[in-house]
Amino acid sequence: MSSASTSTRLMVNMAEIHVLTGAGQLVGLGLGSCIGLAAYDGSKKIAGLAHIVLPEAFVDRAVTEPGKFADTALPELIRKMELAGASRASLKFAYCGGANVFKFGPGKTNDVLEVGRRNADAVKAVLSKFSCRVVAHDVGGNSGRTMTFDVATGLIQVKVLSVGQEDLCTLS
Amino acid sequence: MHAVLNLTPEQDVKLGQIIAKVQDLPSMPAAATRVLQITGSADTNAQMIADAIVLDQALAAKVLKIANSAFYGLSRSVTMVKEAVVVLGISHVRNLVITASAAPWMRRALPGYDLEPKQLLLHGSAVAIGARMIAKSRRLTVADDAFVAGLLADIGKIVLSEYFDGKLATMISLGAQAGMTFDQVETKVMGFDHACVGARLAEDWNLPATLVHAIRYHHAPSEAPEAYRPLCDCIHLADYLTMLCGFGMGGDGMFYEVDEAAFERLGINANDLDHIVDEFVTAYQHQEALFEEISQS
Repeated sequence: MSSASTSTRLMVNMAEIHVLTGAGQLVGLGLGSCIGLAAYDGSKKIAGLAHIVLPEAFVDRAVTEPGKFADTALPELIRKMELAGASRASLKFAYCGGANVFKFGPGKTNDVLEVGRRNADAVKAVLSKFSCRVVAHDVGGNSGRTMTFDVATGLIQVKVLSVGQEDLCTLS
Repeated sequence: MHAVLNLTPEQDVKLGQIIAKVQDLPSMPAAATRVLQITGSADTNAQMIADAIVLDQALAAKVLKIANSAFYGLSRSVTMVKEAVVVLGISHVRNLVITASAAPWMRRALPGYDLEPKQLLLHGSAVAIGARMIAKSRRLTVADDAFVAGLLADIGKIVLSEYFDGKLATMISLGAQAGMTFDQVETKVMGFDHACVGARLAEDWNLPATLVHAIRYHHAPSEAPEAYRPLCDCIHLADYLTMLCGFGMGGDGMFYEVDEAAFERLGINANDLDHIVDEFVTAYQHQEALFEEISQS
């Protein structure tokens, strides 16, 4: 966790979770099938962003990067938010990403290949399991996204390459 | 004569015209092509590789600079190219030479694909790492070819970008409505997709036929001649992993087709995909600093 000036622009890379307070921006760049999961305590201006890569941690491997998996990223994001002083009851969430390839080609037999859809389903399920308040989401499609989360205002903007940038929601 | 593309004379002329109209066309230094040829033969050695590299002083300086970078953490600095080849290994230096040679034009922005500066190099680096990882895990002999072919798979976009500037959103929209992948849209608009254009560039540079085929068929590995299919399968799957992870993704995004037959031919169970993605991300993170170093050189 760190305090930030208005000019701070912190990139949240794959499997990372970052929390900022006061001001600045958290950026999830190049979300393909990955999900950017944002959490916000508006009264204290504490913002967190996880860059989730896969739906579930592996049962046969130790988890060294909890931000990588949907089922481990959410509890770790909440823990980091609380460590920064956020109130769990105040937290609001939004997420985006989870794109898929346009086509699978002749003879597709396995839905496992749709990583983006599975990621989006897993994030939705874990948010429900933890009874989290979800304000907005933007998932699916075939395009990459960049998610920008403004710490001072809670505004989340999503840029879809070749389309443009739009406001997803304000988590205040 | 462009044997891999199997074009009619009219198509061959048209493709040549499309490429010729592009200003500042990318090129592969003769020394780099020579290194590829030498390392493809069984009786190569460090001296032969070094002799080829030092013919191009700028390339030799890059190799030494990168070999002495913090990434490798060598206990003492190397001052001779042959020394670098011995310390780092022939296949490693070969990959380094090609990456350093391609980096100046692969780090350009490609507005026709909505790709920011460095993003094509980032994408190619990721495909290279993924393709080599897959080839090694399947114990294929094409691991080094996989790296170079993965790196160069999308070079055709450098040419087509000049034609797509300002048209990308319309092309994607029309393609989505018609159920066409982006490479199919490219073919409809230009007569050729970026894989064809890239293969033609690779032929013009006298790259080995293996690499030309891999570039040509990286989106359609099942159509590749059988002898080249394992390599094409590796590039195809690595490209898929790279799209999933969003490395160097442009406006064409994930508007492509994944051929599940490539998994089967490589003996990969699709149910293991998450493990493969995990290993790919780890491999990429490990190499990221090296590519950053090369892109600055």
